[in-house]
Amino acid sequence: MTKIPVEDAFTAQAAAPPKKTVQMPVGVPGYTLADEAREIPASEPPVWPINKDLKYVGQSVQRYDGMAKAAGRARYTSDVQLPGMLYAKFVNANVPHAKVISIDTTDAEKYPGVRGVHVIQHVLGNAVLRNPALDPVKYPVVRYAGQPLAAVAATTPAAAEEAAALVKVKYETIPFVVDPAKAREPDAPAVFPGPADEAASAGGGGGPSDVKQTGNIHGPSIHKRGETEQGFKDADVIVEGHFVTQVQTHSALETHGVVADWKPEMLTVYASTQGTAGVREELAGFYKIPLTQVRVITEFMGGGFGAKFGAGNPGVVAAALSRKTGAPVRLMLDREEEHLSVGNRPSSDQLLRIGAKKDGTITAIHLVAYGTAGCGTGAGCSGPASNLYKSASLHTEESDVFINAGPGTAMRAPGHPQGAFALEQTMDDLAVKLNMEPLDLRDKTDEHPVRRVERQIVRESELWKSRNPVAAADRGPVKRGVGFAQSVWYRFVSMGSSAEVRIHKDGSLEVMSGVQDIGSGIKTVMAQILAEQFGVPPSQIAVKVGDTNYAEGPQSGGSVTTLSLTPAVRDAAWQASQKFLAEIAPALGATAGDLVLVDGEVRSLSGKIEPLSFKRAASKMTSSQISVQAKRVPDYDPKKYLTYGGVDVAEVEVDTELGRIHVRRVLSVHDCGRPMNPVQTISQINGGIIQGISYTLLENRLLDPVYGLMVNPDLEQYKIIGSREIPDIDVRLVETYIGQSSTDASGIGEAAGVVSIGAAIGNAVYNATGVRIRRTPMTPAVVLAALHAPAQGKELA
Amino acid sequence: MSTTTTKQPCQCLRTKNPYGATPQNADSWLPGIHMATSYWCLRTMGPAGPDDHYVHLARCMPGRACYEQREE
Repeated sequence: MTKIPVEDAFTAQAAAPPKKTVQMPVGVPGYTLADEAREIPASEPPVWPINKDLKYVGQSVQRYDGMAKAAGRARYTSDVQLPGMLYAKFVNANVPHAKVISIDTTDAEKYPGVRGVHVIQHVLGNAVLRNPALDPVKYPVVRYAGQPLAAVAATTPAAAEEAAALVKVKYETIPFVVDPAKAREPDAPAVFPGPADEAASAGGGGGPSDVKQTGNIHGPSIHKRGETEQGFKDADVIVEGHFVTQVQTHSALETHGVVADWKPEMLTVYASTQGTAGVREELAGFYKIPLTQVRVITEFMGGGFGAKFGAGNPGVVAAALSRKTGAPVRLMLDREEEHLSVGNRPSSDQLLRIGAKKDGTITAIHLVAYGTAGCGTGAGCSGPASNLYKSASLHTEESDVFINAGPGTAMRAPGHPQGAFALEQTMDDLAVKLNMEPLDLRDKTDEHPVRRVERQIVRESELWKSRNPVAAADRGPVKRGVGFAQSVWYRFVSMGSSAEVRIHKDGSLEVMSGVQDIGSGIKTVMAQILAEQFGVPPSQIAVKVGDTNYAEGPQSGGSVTTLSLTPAVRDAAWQASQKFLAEIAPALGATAGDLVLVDGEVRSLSGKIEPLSFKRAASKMTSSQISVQAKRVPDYDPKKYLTYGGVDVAEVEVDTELGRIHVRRVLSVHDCGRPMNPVQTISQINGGIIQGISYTLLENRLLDPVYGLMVNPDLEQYKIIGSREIPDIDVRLVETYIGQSSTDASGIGEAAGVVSIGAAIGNAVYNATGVRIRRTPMTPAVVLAALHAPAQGKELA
Repeated sequence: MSTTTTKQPCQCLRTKNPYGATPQNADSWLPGIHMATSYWCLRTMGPAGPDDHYVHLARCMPGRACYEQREE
């Protein structure tokens, strides 16, 4: 979460510090590695060699907190128990669209064990309503079933739930729409009043009229590069398709929630969050209290894929109840609420057209996309079409379609699984039409040097060599196919990322940051960096994260954590080591410049003193503690290496009688800069592949068009992939150096398979059956419908 | 019609926005992901503002009833 909107992403960086010129390894070992010069801040540490020449970084070091998690010692937010803690339960709307006339909490307040009730009302802040003649309603308009309206805090979870059921809400219902196609019709019920320069229901509305809003459609947002009309005229071949992807809800094992403990001097919040700093900032902003009076703690995190940013309603409501009752309040959502109210991956409805020359040169890409993020925005999906391939011209149009359903949020590579599903299947169609091998077509049109290496690895793989280039070659009812697709993501740097390193006189080391470990393993990587600097095994480093009392860390979204934080950790470790050597030098009769730290020993370059262990050397410190805090410095060459990604190959078996798709094997070849800890990186890619298969084949939010309710808000009817559906996954990491920071790490979370695996499956299904399926989830019903569609087209659109 | 992002948006506009500091020449590819951004309002913790209209970078601008100027 950030309150800094998009345009401030480009704010000028601080005045340039003194520089030095260094040579850095750049490229892929075994393929393109060479030294490149970089002009970097003089205060930066020496350039690291590639991983094979490092001792701890780049090694598959055991997860720092693995034993704590395996043994059940890890304390997640939902495990937090505080003396006198109350349990809160939301009262949620049970209609999809309504004005709330009244909320009667009388009976709930009288219920045994109830200590407090909070009703969510409009908070107008500094607003001055444009039209004072219109009285604002007291309560927010209900725009989806499941929207929180109030909450009850009681001494037991059961009492809270029973009391919440006693809250009486009187609605004035409003016509609703939950079908995105119907919502686009001119006479569809309006989810929001508008256009924005007309009065809104709370008595004002208003706003700039420079963004088109037509009924429930926000958009289109149009992006052009070159002239697509001419591009299609120049094309020898044109391919096109209509693609539809569904809404995917977030299903992290740990639901959203907090434990809020509001004492007179401090609001302490234990939160399941991807950004401790963001939760603090929002609570301080919402309650208008200083940041110093809010502390947010995330010791362990049970999963987050983009929906756990900011305080959210659980945060502000639990805090309100804690302040009201004078007791800590635990408010964790249940699985149903998790499906309904805290975000999802928006749907998409895409018309994609690509024109190309006979040699594969792309002359035009044209995408028109609609998608629904429920009653929110963010359903765009043009990232892959805009950024994967070189095209003489590009035209994208994207629109949000409002419906009466829970708002979308960011979800692992926002917009990209949807966009890649369409783009990469259409590229496959193009390869068929051009009679080109799919990898050769990408070689022609994709300029990214690392993906070129990744394709070469695929080309040499047994799996790809086993692919029959002729579609539908198998004779039996179960047909095998192999498909390929590519992904793209972007290099974002969170400049607020900071860390503190401490050296203690007893030789112990600790590193601290407010960063939260959302399960991807940043704690382990932080330990590895200190281990590399001081020559001490990672297990001996104390790593403390997930607390806003530490130096501010990055928020974990957009694949920024490792690439943003690790340079700050390394810089702090390096600077601390230099202070350390300077401090102990007099006691050793040496000068600081003559001392170095190598393999856990302090050594003399001149040989004047005998090597001594780091621990013994620390005993020579004149202070009890050396502490250095460092902040991320800008990328060394920010105009280079803007994107990264990977490629995926899926092998499927399609049962043409039952309609079942079985993904047998996946080959996943990905880059993430310098892999800091390969086994953890591979684990993220495994997760991305699994999540992507689940999205492609199984998951589907179903809304009842008559009542406007989600009919499968659980993990029984909302199908998530299980162990039987998980294929053999072969992950190949492509170690890549780009010379951008003191660690040269990049990200992996977004690009880790989830972007491209859906299209790879689609292309494999085509290879198996000769039928193109352009809709997700590819359930047996969808597959059978496609297989039995009229011969012309042989597809379901 | 394109989304305009040049005015000073409301201080209550929030997004998960991972962008932080992006490469200086990112303008060429950012349009491909801007429309995938979800927003919420600090005052309501939801996708609608206090005026019940939807929250968006292009909407939460001076002139909107509930607009709050950013504190410098």
